[in-house]
Amino acid sequence: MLIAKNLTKIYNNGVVALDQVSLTVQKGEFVFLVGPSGAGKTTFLNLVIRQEVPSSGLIAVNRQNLAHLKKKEIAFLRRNIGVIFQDYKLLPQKTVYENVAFALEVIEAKARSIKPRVYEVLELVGLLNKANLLPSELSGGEQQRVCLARALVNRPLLLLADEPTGNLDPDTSWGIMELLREVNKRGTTIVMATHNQQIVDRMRRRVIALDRGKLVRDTPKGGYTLET
Amino acid sequence: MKPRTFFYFLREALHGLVRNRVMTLTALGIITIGLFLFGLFFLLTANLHHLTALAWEEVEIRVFLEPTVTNPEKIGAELAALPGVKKVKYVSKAEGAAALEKMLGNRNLFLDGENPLPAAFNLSLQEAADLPTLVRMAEAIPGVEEVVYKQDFVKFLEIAIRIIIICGLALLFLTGFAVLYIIINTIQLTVYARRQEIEIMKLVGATDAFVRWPFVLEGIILGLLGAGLALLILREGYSFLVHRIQFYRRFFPILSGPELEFKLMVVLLGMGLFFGGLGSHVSLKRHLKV
Ligand SMILES: Nc1ncnc2c1ncn2[C@@H]1O[C@H](COP(=O)(O)OP(=O)(O)OP(=O)(O)O)[C@@H](O)[C@H]1O
Ligand SMILES: [Mg+2]
Repeated sequence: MLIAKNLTKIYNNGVVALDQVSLTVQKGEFVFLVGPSGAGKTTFLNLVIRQEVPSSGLIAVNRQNLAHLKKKEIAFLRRNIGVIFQDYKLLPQKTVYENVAFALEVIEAKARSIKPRVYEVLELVGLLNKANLLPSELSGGEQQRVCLARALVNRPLLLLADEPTGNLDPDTSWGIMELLREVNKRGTTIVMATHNQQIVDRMRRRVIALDRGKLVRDTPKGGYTLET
Repeated sequence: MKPRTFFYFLREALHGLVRNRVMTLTALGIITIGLFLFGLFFLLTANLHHLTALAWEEVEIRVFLEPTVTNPEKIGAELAALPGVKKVKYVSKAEGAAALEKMLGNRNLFLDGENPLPAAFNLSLQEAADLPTLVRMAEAIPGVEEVVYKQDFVKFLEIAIRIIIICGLALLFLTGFAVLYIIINTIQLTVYARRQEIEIMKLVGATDAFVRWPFVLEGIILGLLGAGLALLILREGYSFLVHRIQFYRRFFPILSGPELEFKLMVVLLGMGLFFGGLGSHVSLKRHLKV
């Protein structure tokens, strides 16, 4: 599903955000990407959706080498990847419904399919009754769920979640994690960047740890820190 | 493009215009002023051009015939066929004499049968005729004695036309660029206001073309609205002016009529459309790199 080989990203300002990272994620996996702030987690996810290009090394999604994509192919690649952004990226002047439907409208999905799809994912994330509210009228956890709904609305093969429990209290965080677990059970591959130790420790999934751009650990069913 | 998609673009474009009302109105005002100036220069150039065309008609060329000529009709036909000739008027010996007598105020300048004046043709010219060539060709016609014209006046006109055309074009380009600049900046504001939307569109997999269209439409709508307003002001103002100087029309042969209005309309709307679309295109270029 996802292959990185010697993946390196050096930003224009000279920061080495990723340094020779190699890893493979299989279809259907649920992977935690952990590491301290600045470790390069977001950078990695940005490379996966081709928002950034590698300085060297290779990255492939669905057996497609991202280095050779044309502009249009980048667009189509992104239609197969759902992303929960660290900063939500919801449009403040659009309602919950509109924010989610937006993701389908702009890829020219069939008009008839939009409404049922949007309601389906809003029901999944438990926001049916808030469909007509603006993001500013929602709590942080609810905004996070809108973001999840938008990421899922096009039935992506791969879901990237960047700190989906970032500023949420433990209960709300667990609500989100339940949803992600459910989505994963239905077959979507998930890569989740986080530094929420509690969650990683309790979920017992594969953990990939980055530190200052280097891959320092890759354990199946691991914890946040290396256990003795 | 599916009709539904087009309406989506149109709705988004109108949405953008309505949402940023203050910006839209400001831009519209500036575009209108720009296109108004453009139209003004256009009318000015058209009128100056018209003036020189009228002046050309005043340029008279006299073609004197040899006294032995017996078939002036044939020569007249040949003259009329020369490139650049608009009208040919035959002036017989007697008519020539009468004209001269009238000019000098002497009714009996010549005795009958003693008229030394040659028969002649007066040619009036089409605008921008190639005079030297014309004169050479006329002189080559058998039976033609001499070709006479007011050389200085013609030279002056030729230079005047050239200057007017160059100035007119320069002014048109200048205003054109100004309008383009204004539209680019305006759409840039709109694009900037909606950069978040653009970013999200691109991140969820919208194609560049899809992202671009609403903005291009927005630019086109702005351009056309501005052109429409400018057109309205120009038309009203111009017909008012024409009306006011109606009396002096003889001295001020100002252009008017549906043909001019149509030309102005095509030029302004075309400008609005072109620069509106192009402006959006340019403004978006940078923002599509997500
Ligand atoms: N667009 C950019 N330009 C330059 N440097 C950047 C850019 N984005 C990130 N960086 C730098 O790259 C490094 C890795 O950043 P990244 O955002 O990937 O970290 P992260 O692991 O996601 O951190 P966090 O947990 O705080 O989100 C940091 O040092 C950061 O300053
Ligand atoms: Mg990050």
